[in-house]
Amino acid sequence: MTKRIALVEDDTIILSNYRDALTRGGYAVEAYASRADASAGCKLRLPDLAILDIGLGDEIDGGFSLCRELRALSASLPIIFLSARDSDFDIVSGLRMGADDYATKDISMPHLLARIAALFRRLDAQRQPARAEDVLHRGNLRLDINRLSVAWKEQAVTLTVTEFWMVHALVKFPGHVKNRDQLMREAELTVDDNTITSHLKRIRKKFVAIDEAFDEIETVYGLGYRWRAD
Amino acid sequence: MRPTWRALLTGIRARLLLVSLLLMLIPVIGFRFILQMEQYLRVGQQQVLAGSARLLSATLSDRPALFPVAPDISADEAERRRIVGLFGSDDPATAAHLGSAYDRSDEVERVLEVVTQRGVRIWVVDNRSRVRGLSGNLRRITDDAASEGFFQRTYRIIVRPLLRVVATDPYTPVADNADATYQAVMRQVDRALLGEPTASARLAGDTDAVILSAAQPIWQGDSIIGAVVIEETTQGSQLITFAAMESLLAMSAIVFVVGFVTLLVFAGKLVYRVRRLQREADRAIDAQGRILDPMLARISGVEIPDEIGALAQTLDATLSRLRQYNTYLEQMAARLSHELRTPLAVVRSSLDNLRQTTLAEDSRVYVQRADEGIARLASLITRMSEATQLERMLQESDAERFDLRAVVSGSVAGYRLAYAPREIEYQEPPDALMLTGVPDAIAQMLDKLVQNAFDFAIPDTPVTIALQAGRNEIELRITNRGPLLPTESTGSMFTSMVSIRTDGGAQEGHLGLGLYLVRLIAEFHRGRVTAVNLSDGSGVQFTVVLPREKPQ
Repeated sequence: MTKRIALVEDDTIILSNYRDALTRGGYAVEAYASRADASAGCKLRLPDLAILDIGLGDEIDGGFSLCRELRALSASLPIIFLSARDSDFDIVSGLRMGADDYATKDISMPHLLARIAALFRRLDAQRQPARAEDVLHRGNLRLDINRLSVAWKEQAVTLTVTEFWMVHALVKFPGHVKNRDQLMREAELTVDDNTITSHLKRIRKKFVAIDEAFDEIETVYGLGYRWRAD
Repeated sequence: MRPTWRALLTGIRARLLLVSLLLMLIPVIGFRFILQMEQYLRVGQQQVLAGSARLLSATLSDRPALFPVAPDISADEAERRRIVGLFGSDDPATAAHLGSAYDRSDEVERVLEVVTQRGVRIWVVDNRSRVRGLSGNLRRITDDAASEGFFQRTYRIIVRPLLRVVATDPYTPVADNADATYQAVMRQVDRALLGEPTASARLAGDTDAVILSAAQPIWQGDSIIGAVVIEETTQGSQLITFAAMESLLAMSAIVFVVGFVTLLVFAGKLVYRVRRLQREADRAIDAQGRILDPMLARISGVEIPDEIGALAQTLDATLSRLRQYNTYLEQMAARLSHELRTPLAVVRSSLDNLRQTTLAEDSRVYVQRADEGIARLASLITRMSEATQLERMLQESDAERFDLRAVVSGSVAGYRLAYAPREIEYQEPPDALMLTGVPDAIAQMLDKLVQNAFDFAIPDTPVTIALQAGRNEIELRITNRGPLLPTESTGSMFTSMVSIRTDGGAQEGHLGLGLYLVRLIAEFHRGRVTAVNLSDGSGVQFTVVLPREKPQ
């Protein structure tokens, strides 16, 4: 069955470009240019995934309120924010609204498609039983590659897809330093160094929220980050 | 800034004091007025004197008893009476000078005694030119030098010579010449005997004291039997003039001093406010040409409703407008990057779509090139917003206590790998250096400085990183050999969007944001960053100075 993606974007050229690319990627795309249209359309028939711009026409934060509406309709609907804004504040706000991922508009189509695929994969995997070979164990950490889920001391850590791949990149070879370029590649992220720093800061915070003694991600100044080898 | 003497002389205060010299005109005008008044007084005195002479002549007229025919007396008797008269006279010097012309009549003198007062001398002469009555003298009141106190003496020594310049000193003794007096009186008597009343004023001897006189004939029936002459000094009016001048001088001195002091205080206050304004305006802009925060650079005195207050207000408004403009400039990079992202997304997504369609082989080359261009554009845009992102990160980060040496040493190890085969010389301090701040930011600052150093270093020369702890400060120096900085712009190179080195620069293009980030981070850690050319001219050294914390 073809997956249906709702695409909300006020710039018509980008809207049609993305619609073309996603259609070519094998998805059915419903493109909306305004919040009202999108809201009406999604209520009529819930899509399988939503890609939202934050600023919609005159509504600077239209995407955020749309995200809240969609989250109210479905708790499991994957939502990706796609915005020109790249400030930490916007990223954190977006993720706090319940979005699953955040990408800036300079992301390339293949990268975007990969993230969409990853989200769908996670959704599918959650419906299937876990397979032992897809699970990585590192001390207190359990990483399910298939479901893209992470647990620390048996408690689930809610990471976005991007964050998951970053943790995955660090954990794959504990003790090895991953520099920012490598992390960016692993997470299929196209942002600058600062964003990597804030991504890792958020990841740390999410772990610390579960376990105050968490200190496994180590900064190696000038080089990058590594997962502390036990 | 210490005011020099030259500045003091050309300053507002000096000019105001110069203008205040106009106050000097007040006593000058006053003196003129008083001298005029003295003239009027003298005219009045003369009229009074003439009136007195008329009255006296009326009293003496038609009283034959007053002028008895002199009995023939012996020469001895005449001599005896003359000597007695001399002793009884008010003015022995004049009486002596008259000699035998002084034929004293007791009756006349008795009348004269009644009307004589101080400073007045009255002559009664009969038609045979014999002086029948002489009463009073022209001696003046003299001041009593013996009993005067300190102030009076000071006053006499200092003020009186000043007044003497413009007015006649009433205390100068009249050095009257008896002969000259006699001549003058007789001239008037001669006229009076002809029936003509006269009034005259003459100088007493060599002094500038004036003697006024009036003459009037004495009648007996239709014939003139004598004349009366009244003389008076002008000491009375001079005393009044002098007193007026004295009090005028005193008042002027007081007005002058008070005016002077008031002006001085007033000018001082104005000068202080202008100076303060100048100082504050000076301080509001730092060495890099940035307008400081209103908390640090406050313009005071804006609430005072005068011209200087208005100036302060204007200055304050100008500064805040400049500050806004500065902020706008500094944020422009971030805004620009945000605005550019959308068209960039249009191009990139179009290219992505284009690549998916079937393209001719030669067209693919162009798509490839467009991709490269877009990638470069994207990285530029990202860098433009770096500063704002960093500012936000610094604001949001919680400062932590960390070991600066560990951060720098770790970073250096990383750079050695990253920049291999180029070399890094590292001078490590012996002890850990604890600092409160954001270690990530410090590492980022070091990244920028090292990258900058390698960008400009001559190939195959090492970059030197030295970390050194002083008593109060920590110094981090990054040195490279290579082209020098133009000396005049070392301050502005840490400003947003200013790139001053063009030769030997990186291929990626310098937006001049790197060093601005370095400054932001250094200042966030209460430090500062400077760049200097090495004294031997071989390269450039960047120094970050951070305050050292007391060990806890």
